[in-house]
Amino acid sequence: MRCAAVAAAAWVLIAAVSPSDTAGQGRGVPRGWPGESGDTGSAGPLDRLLQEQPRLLVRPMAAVLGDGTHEQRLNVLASWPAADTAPDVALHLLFGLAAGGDVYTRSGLGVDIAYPLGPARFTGSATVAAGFGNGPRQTVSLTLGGGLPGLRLEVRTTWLQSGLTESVRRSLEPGVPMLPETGAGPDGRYTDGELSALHRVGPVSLRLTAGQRFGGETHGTRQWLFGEADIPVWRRFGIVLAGGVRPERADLAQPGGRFAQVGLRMHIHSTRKEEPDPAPPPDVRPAAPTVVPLEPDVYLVRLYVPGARRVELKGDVTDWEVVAMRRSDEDPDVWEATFRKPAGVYHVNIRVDGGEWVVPPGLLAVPDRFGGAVGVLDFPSTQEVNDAT
Amino acid sequence: MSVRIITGLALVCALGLTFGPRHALAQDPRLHKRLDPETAAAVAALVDSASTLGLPAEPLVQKALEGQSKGASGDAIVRAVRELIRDLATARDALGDDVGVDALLLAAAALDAGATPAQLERLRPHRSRESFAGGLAGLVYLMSRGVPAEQSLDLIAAMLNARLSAAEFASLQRLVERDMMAGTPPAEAAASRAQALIRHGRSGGFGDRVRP
Repeated sequence: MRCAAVAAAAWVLIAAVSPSDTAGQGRGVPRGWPGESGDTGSAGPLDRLLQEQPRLLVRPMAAVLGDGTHEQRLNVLASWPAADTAPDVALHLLFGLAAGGDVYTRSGLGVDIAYPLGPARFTGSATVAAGFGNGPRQTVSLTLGGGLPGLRLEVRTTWLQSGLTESVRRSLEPGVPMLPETGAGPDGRYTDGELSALHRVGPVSLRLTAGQRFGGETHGTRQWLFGEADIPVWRRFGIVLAGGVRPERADLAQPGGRFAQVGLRMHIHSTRKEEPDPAPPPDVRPAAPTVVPLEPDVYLVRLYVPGARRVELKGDVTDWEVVAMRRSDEDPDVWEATFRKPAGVYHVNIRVDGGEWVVPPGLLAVPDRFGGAVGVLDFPSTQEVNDAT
Repeated sequence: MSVRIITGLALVCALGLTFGPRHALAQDPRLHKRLDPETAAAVAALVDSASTLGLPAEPLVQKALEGQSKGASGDAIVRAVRELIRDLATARDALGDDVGVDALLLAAAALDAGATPAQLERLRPHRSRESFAGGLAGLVYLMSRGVPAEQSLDLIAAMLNARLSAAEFASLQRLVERDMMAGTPPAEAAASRAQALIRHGRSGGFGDRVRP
């Protein structure tokens, strides 16, 4: 346990301050896409993280468990930068409060590292947390994952010290009397493999998660399957409904088994965010097309077109044949198409919902010599990509 | 085999080597598939002539396909291809024979936007820089935003002199757009952002930050 904690802490520190940037310094992150910061200069990853504005995610939840008991939770996560941008490196401060049969608070530090490789994204994260109340005193979680935008596989190993919560122990071993809180329960370790699929129906995100536990002292649920629906309600508020069979998470003082849960999701900006911005516009997503080199001479073009039902593109990259772009799995307002062309400058137009052919917003517009205009789309060479990062 | 036959075969081979590739290029099947026969023949002849001059053929074929895609008449397509050949040739004369296709296309766009050959020629000493095409894109952008050609050239030449990267040229457009949305006149925004990029790199020195 101690070795694991030391290793995790070392990883966190290395990831945070390493000048070589283990995340690859944004390799594969296109110009203009979130994650590509224009003013990073020579600052290290930690400096860059701290320059970003933190955001607060607050999730109060209430759940009914299979045995009829109730549970209330409050999770708070402060992130640099905000987690919803899928950054290459993110630092989290986390706080959790669980109440019901037990009361348990948990606070800690986490770091996420991501490496995009074509459409796939590989991630690693480490979390070190300390708990007070009826639960483990120290926990360390290491997670490795990867997947495509709509499908993700994760393997998470958790080390904990001072044992399980009493409610977890009681639910798993009926008949065993509650142990007095001594603060020195048994150590434990378990590894979870989880496969999750994400699907969007309009603004609603649906996630189905299935998993299997390996090792550990869990006597109850070793396989689980549950679903979640995140329903945006107003601005940065949403309702999260979840239900199914969930795993016991001793590190969260979470009993396993059947459950039904309703929660709120609140994204709260930091006070710095509310200060007048001297440099508008504040839109965090790029209006300009983003070009992602997938492999030599293969490029993914992404357009941010909010509210579109159909987006088409034509240009030098298609011999001026019309091609329909596909909606991104990650964001319904982002449209994508892949082109097999050498690095160079190309001219393109787009059409949204069958309207007029126009220059994609944010692109350099030049006269087309037919009375209109075309946008100049740059497929960067490897050298240019390296310069940009 | 007589000397006469050998000489004849050699002549045919020489003619084939001389004209074969260009002829094949001119017979681009895309032209004949997408354009009416007259327009296709006229464009093919122009492409053939441009190839003889050493100009790239693909942008010309693409211009013709673009015209067809946009419903332009055959005359308009031929005229657009002819103008593009003229601008490409002028750009190459101004910048030098060794300039890349991307830079050549952007220089032609700069001429179309109102730059003169003499103004383009001022950028010739920078043509070997990796970010040269990016600089020309920046020039076209500034001119399209109403920054006077002379001032645009001065700024781009200074940025090329400072060895800014293509990414830094790309950020010029983003920064100037941001300033213009805040009410700064284009020429003023361009001057301040270009100078800041030269001094501070991609941030433009104004605390610009791409937020998550």
